[in-house]
Amino acid sequence: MKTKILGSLIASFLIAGAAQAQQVISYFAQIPQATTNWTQTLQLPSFDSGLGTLTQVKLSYTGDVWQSLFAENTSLANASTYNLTTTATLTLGKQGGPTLFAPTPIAFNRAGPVLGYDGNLDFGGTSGVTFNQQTTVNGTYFDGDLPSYLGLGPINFVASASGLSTLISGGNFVKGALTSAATGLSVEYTFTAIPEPSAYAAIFGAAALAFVTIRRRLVRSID
Amino acid sequence: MTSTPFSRSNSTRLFCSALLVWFASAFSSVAIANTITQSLAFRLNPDVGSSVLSFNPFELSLGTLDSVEISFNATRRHDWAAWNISGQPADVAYNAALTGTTLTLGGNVFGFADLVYGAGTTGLLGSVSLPTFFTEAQMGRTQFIAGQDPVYASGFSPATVSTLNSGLYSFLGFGGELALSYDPGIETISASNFLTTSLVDVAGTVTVTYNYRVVSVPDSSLGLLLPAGLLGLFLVARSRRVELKQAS
Repeated sequence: MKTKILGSLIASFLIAGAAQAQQVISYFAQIPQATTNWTQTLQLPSFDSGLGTLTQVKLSYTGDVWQSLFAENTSLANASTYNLTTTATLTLGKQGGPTLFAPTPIAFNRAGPVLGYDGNLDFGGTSGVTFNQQTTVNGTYFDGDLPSYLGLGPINFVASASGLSTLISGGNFVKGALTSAATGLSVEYTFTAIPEPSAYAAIFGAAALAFVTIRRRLVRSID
Repeated sequence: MTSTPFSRSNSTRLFCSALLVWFASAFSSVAIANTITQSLAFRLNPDVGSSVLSFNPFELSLGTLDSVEISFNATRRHDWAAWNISGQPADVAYNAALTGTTLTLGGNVFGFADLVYGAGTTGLLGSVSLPTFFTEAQMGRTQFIAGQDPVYASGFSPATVSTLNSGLYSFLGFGGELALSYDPGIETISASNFLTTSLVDVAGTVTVTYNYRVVSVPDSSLGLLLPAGLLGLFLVARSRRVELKQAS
């Protein structure tokens, strides 16, 4: 009989233990592709303390950069050369806080010769060039400042993307650079859940059932 | 005793003096400095990358060439413009420099001082949204787009004058040509999403000056006339002396 009582109690504790296992909830926000330079705010929901105890915050960052370089030699008289470089820099940090992500700047360089103006200002043909490049960068950061993720309002992150171009060519050129970027940020909250009222009810019910069963058996044995 | 106008000793002195005069006039010369100047205009632009200037070589019969001066006087115009093509307002810093601009004349390099538009900061706060790249009709080859709110920069370099005084004799002897070529470069630093154009135009003159000496040399007829006259005088004096001798 004692064995049965003990088994019922263990079952109750297991139910309660299962309710307190580690859980993960995640959110995602993004800034769509836009030409640089830009600085924008990303908002992610803060962790709801009612869900349990926050044990870990993992941030995953994704940056996409599109770069284009183009040049056209407009000199009929002379062939010439170009050396085009554009560099994109991405950053992300918590608003009012330190920078969390600063990937290595993405440089894009092309150099070479072109012939004299071919009559078409199309950045192609024999006197023009166009180059394109797309790059994706990723990063992960575990933020130890857990209290900053608690509260009711959203968590603000500030993302920025900028481009700098250095365009060298002969004296009679039309040339330029284009840079656009997109950013995505996800947060994973890992927490220990607080047992729900139903879990407590189940425990209480199991205990009551055990008590009733034991009492009934005791009565029968007395009878 | 009748005096004799031309004694033997007197006639000899006269002859020697005359001969001396003749030598002086026949073999001495007078140097007169003179110059001949030729101005040659040129222009180098996107359509004309090099040019050959033709000039008249020095005519050796004019005298002795002492030196040759080549003066190079040119003005370089540089137009630069930029457009914000990001589709959103942008505050732009740009730095455009025109470098490596030299002209070569007969193996001698004439250099320009670099023309630098220093680190200007220009706000293009008005958005310039362009659906596509500029078409050729919009751009043109020698003028910039109007009505888009570009940043303009335009400048003229000061004239450069250089003079060479030596080392050009052989060049002139066979010459008659000066070769000019031009290879400018442009560097633009700005935020991304900008379209820039540049145009370089150089115009000027090359002046070739021959400094020479005109040598004054008597004609051969003049050289013969004087001895002939002297010989006549001598013969007249001699005949009179003979007559006087016979009369005495």
